[in-house]
Amino acid sequence: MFKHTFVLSPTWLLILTFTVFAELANQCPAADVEIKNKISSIFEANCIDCHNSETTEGGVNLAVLLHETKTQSDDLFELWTKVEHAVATKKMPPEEELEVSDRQSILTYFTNTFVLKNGKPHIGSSPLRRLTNYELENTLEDLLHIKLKQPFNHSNAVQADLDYSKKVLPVEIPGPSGFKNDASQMANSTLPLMEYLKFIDFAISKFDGNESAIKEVLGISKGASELTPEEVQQILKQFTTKAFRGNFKDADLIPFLDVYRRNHVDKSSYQALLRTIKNILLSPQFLYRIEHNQGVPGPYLVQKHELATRLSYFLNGTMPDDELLHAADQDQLSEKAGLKKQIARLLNQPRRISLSEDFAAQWLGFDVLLIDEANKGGGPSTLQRAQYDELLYFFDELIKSDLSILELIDSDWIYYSNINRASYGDIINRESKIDHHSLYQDVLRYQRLVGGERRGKEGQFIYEPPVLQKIKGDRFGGVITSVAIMKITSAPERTSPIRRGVWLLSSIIGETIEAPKDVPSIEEAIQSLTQSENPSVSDILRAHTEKASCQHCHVKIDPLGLGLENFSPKGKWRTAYPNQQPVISNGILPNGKTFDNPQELKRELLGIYKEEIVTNIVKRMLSYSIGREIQPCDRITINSIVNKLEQNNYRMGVLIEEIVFSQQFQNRQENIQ
Amino acid sequence: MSKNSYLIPRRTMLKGIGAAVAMPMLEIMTPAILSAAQKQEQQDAIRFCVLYKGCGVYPHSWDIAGGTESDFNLAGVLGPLKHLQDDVLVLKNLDHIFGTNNGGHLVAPALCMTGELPQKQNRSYNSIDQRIAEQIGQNTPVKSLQMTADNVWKQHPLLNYLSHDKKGNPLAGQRDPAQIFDMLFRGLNNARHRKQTQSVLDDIKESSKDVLRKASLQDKQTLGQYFESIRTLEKQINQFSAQDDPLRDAKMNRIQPLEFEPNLAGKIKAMLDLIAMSFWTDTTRVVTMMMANTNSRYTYDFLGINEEFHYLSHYARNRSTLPHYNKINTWHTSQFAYLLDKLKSYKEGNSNVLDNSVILYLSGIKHGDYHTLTDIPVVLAGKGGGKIKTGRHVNFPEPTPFPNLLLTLANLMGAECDKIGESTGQLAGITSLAGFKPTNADDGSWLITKDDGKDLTAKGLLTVSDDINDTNVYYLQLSDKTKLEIRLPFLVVHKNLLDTNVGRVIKLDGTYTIKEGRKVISNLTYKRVSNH
Repeated sequence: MFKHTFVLSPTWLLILTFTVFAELANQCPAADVEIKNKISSIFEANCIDCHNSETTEGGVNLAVLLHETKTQSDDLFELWTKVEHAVATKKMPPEEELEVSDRQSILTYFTNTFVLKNGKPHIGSSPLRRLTNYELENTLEDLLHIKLKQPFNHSNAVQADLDYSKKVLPVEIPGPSGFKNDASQMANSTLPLMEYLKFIDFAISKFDGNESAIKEVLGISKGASELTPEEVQQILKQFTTKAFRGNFKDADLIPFLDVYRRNHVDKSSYQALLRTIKNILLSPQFLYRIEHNQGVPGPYLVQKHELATRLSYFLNGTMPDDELLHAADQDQLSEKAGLKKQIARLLNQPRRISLSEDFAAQWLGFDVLLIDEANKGGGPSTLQRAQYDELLYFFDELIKSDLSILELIDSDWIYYSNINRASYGDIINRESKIDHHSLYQDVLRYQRLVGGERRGKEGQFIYEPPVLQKIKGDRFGGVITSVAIMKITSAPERTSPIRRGVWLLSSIIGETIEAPKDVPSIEEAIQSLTQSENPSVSDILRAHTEKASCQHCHVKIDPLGLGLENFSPKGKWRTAYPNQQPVISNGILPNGKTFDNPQELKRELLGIYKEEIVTNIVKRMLSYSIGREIQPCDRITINSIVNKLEQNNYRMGVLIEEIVFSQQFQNRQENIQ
Repeated sequence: MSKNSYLIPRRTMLKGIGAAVAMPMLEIMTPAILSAAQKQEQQDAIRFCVLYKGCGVYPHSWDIAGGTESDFNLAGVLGPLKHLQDDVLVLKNLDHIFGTNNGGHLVAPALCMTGELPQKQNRSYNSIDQRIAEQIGQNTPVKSLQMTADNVWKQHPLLNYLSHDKKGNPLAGQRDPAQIFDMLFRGLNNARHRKQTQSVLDDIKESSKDVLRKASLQDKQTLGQYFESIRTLEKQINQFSAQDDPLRDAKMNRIQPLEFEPNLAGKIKAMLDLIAMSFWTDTTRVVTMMMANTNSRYTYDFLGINEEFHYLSHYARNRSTLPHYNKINTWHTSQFAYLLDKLKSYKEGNSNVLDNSVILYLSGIKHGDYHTLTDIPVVLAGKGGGKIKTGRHVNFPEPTPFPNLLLTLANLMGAECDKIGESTGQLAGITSLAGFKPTNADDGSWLITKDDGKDLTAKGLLTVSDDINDTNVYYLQLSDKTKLEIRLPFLVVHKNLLDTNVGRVIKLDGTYTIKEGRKVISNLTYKRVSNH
């Protein structure tokens, strides 16, 4: 643990405190039995009437916890997580509150059993991570100095063409963390070797046709004469070091030199090199981010190149560049100042768009706008692309300008696309202009990165990326009322208050919402909320929420969504439905406060739910950065980052830095049973 | 792309599959060319396919009214199968007995493929197609094929999968017909390409030897998938080489690059063509395909429909969605019929590919709105090489476990197992006449047994109004051929899930009023009554 003194952050202070408590609790196993008995009696007195094996209110049966012996089984763990959450947030018991000491007993028991292990904080096991399709494409581009992404084809007649990677690689399904980079999900799905072969063949054929790339990467020209063995060794060493992200020893080269030799028998040096490169790119050391195994459970610090790799994939969605690997070599990443410097550098270059493209788009769900919904075989329409870009650049602005993450909820600026102007009306605040001359340049740099194409041939449109604008009025600002979000939480031709409510609660506030086991389920009523049909909306809502178990969630969901009825299914402001009925849009928040317009909703969200919202953002980003679902053992880290944010105006930069400084991000731990 | 000659440009690729349908499929091999062994092999080759569509059905448009086991009328949603009546076996009353409504749409696809609810660390969680593929897929180039035409539903990953391997891991469906075509009929079919690929694999195996040695225990488990993928591909290469025979070559020569419309309809049609062609050429014998998942957000614009399929399936609260819902469901059946016609057009000896196949067409839930897991909509097609007696409508006694169907079919396909999921035994009535008693025969006891002028007790057959504009109207049919009208407030219908028991005999206690001389029940409680 003393290795970590360089980052003596509040995390560590907290961990130390926890450790002391836990050690105390651990010293007397008899107390353990006593505490269990106490908890059983608390359950019996307060909970079991509704949550027994017969009633199982809300699908929860606490009878199984009463006399449990094995606490570590998966099923019990899930049940316990629910119980702890309900108790900690005082949702349960629903009527009479628990005695303070009783609640504390339950929470302490949970902490000792699930958050700590043997009385000590830990970080869960560090899963082996395979490159996602997105990371693979970025990495190949950077490693081979080629372009694999298609420029965005802006035309009314022709659909944008898909990246070759999207055509050939199987669609990835997000795992329990909600992200495609979820290591457990990737480990449990088939590795598409044949498809990798095709894609890497494609990348190499691009490379083969690009003289300057060949020169840059191999240091020779395509028509170069035969190479000496020393030259080959030098070229391959350099290439493999990069391809394996610095995680490479000279001895590791031997099998690849063998490959070269075997292929050199009937091929030229250059052709044999290409063949060897193909082999390297199909190697597990390239496709997986394998980290050095110390043979002890840990947690222990990852090696310097491994930290550089984690950092680069987190912030840039690609392999570490030369400068980062060099900084790692110089041991600069083991000091907070050096690490901060590299974080700033990586966030200062256009590749940081990966945080918006890969992290934010999946978290907030606007990545669906890139799916071609009409299924015509290409990419999105130009309008949809513009709506996507508006949110993409919005999120990026938070990173680029190191703004408060609370601006996600409310801001007096947005990224505004001319192509999408019909959605807005007159909202641009022309008095208070942002000088976006310099920003525009930055946007243009993204264009190349995210596949946009600004220059069209004669007669073609030019795709104008969205620009930063100060806005007036209270309708827009933040992501909740953005055109993209209002659109993706609607059906094609009608709004869905429940979808919107669910999105707000789960994506922003971070509540776990499960479809209730009793019919009717949430999903059903999501579908059935239309304005002009029989039965009426309130009929359905009543039908849906009259059961107490439904009420529990719907009292929160429905009024939230109904408060956004002023936004049409396409995200446009409206005051009447297509049938001329006026839109009544007064929402109620779970605590009973009402709101009459989006501005009030946002203000109230920041008032009542600030801590939940911030905690949720921390959880999502931490989860994305470490490639796994958040577990109870992550709580100490999460709370510490939330505290740090509170002290630092919720700055995005602080969030990112604190994640990188966290024990989870810097350490490795083997699976401990 | 030019470097990869085995890849075919997307838009020119499947050109001609469509044309092949219009053209009568010739039996290209004269019997003289076939060796005795080949003939035997061809006869033995039985194929298995699951064609799945999510979002259930409108039960009263799916269910077959009246008739007998062998004499029945295919109409409504099943109408498109009319000309194939002798080739299909409609199965009624197969239930997942452990749950009627619970969260049906989340687990439906997995449930109907494995016969059980997914649980962590459940080693038996293995889908029927994969069990069968272990048995009959070993000697074909592609052991089994998974396809899906729907988008990924991110919130509930299980929705996206039909197939689960031995370890219980889900197998994602391939989505791009062009890529699938390439994999099945180009790619490794080319001997040169096989050689190149094998040599790459040899190099990889050699150069990655050391990796496992250094890895931690848990990393080793994950890396296992890497080495597994090499073995799978090698096996595929070997199987493709083993298929170098004149019979298959002649067939392969007839498979031309064709075009398909890049919308949902075009994609589904192309995938069905791929099933037919891969069965015909014996490239694979086991396929699962999902036309729509159980939360499908597709709008079927090519049918003139602009609402999402899943939304339309929730018709109980809003019956105005029914015409479009039925239209999509009928269209799905017509796609199934298209596949059957296509398989039938491929001659095989004295028979055809359909007769040598077992095609299971189903939705994982019955009632589109209530997500019921009882009376699963399922149609079997093909005679399984003569083992299955088609041309029937089998009305199983209640309750008959759905997983028994999986067990029966798996055994029939040669997979040795004595239990699949929650199965309790073999299903009678698949290979021969079932001869079950009609489930809802009027035994003369459908009567009003109590009536005090305000409340009544009655037993009878529950039916629903055919008029979809008249919402929430049901009838209780009595032995004297009269009908009691049941006209309930929405909330009462909803609470009672009355719709799930239409077509079944119930006993009800109701309150009624007299309207225009008729008794109209306005509130009720009821229970199902067994008719056996």
